[in-house]
Amino acid sequence: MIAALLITLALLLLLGVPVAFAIGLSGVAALVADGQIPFEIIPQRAFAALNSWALMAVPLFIFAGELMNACGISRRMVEVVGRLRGGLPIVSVVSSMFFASISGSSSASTAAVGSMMIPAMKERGYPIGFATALQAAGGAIGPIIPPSIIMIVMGYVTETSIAALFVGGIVPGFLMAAALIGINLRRSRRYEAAFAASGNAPPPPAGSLGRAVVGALPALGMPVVVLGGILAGIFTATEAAGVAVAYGLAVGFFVYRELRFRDLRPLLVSAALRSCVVLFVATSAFLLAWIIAVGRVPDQVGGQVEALAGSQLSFLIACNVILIVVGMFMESISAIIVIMPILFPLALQLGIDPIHFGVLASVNLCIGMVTPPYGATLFVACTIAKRSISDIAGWTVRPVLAMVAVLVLMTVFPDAVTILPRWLGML
Amino acid sequence: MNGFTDRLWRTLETGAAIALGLMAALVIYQVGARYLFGSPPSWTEELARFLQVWLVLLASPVCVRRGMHLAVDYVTPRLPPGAALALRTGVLLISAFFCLGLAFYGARLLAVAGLQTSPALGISMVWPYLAVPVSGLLMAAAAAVLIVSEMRRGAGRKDDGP
Repeated sequence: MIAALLITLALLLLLGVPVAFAIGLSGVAALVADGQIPFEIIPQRAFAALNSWALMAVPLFIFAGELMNACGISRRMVEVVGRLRGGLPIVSVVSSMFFASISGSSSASTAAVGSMMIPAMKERGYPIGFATALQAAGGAIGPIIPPSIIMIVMGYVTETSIAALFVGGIVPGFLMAAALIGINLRRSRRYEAAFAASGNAPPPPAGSLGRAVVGALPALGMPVVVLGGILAGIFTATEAAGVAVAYGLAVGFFVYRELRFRDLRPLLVSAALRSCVVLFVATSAFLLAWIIAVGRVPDQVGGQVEALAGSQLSFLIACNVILIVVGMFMESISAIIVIMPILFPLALQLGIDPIHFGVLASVNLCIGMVTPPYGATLFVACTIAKRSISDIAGWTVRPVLAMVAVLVLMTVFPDAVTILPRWLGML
Repeated sequence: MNGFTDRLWRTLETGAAIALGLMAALVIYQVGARYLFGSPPSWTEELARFLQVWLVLLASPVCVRRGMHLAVDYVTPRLPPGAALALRTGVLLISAFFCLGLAFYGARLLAVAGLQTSPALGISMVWPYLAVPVSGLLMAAAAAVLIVSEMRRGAGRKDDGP
């Protein structure tokens, strides 16, 4: 029965039925096959899924990101980081990290930073493919660095602490940024040298660095307040999201004064629709978890997995492969909803730390954002660069390998993820 | 007809925006109440959760109408135009069928919900649960609007949808 269900689900997904409806319909099939449970369970589970305090961090962080974007934060941030020496690739990656620490969304940070950095790199003689692939990878680090929509959904689906997942992503996020910068140091020095030799270097930007820093301070204060609050154990993820909204409103209305009351409606509508896209898929999470529980999948597969996988390490390696392949073809939120109810109980059975596994799975799906043919941040970066995904595909190999190297490190040394949450007493 | 449906989507957007705005205000108020006065009120969290239910379910028909809901877009772009049109229409029909079922069984659920009151606010659970059948109907309507415009496109007429 359960095999038929999963095949139905895969078929509906492949045909292009929206993920939430596809899971709902396979739920219907499960109920028909079961014959005992009334259909009312489907609307009931959908309601229960949305009636969640933890999930509320998603719309609030999305709204906070919209607010910060509307008051020109990405512009101010690049004004600061753009003055640092050491080449534009570093600027691109570091700006992406800062932006991610405010917005929580990979596509938003790729679009915001990329629309400035990709043309800037092109102007300074970097190959467009290099710039585009690097920006796609920089944006994909976003969901590893807190706050992160992906981690919120991950914590919600697996019922683990969202704050601990956030903190667990900090070390891997910095390692990934360091890897992306590291592998490109020599190349960017070469491109910069070639550009300097060509003799058409532009004049240094007007205005002082000090003024740019002062202008960006209120924006840069947001991650300090939000992440600081979570790290210090003052806020839960949802409370921190509420504080982020309050901070964004205060900065937009009173500090930068770029927001007006009439701007709020379009910002709220846009945030509401984007939240709906994430939360509507999450609605079906309980339903799928329930189908899988009714079908006793973990019991059935569990013994075989232990026999097959043997050790934790070989199981994690298998999961990495599965998740990277899934992440290549499926958008990350949907992938979490569809795959995690199956993999997570197995990981627990093997005694793998839930925070380690949650962060590892998120990192896998983030790598899937950079890989062709369906990488989310790759798509955004290609749109900005006005190139097709196949033009850029070859350039993505190096950044993806750098990310995979960090992934391997995290797989072999769980401490890379768990050291910070344990140190802060979250585990 | 188009004027009516456009007004409908705009009304839903406004409703979802208001729900989000209120929700944000409640969470901010709750955090403030906890850390400044030491006593979070018991009703804010519950009301914010119910607003989230309405927020998502009011915005969802708009997302159906705009084709925003997450789907695996693998097969359709690889089909010839005629087959792609047929597949899109089929997917919309399947979606509409599911939404109507959601509305029907969601409405039957209201009878059960009517027997319960929410713990903190003390209101009937019909009010939060009502969002499910309302949204099911509106999502089916949005899918129907899309099916009609696909059919028109299929018949060679210019699509007049936005």
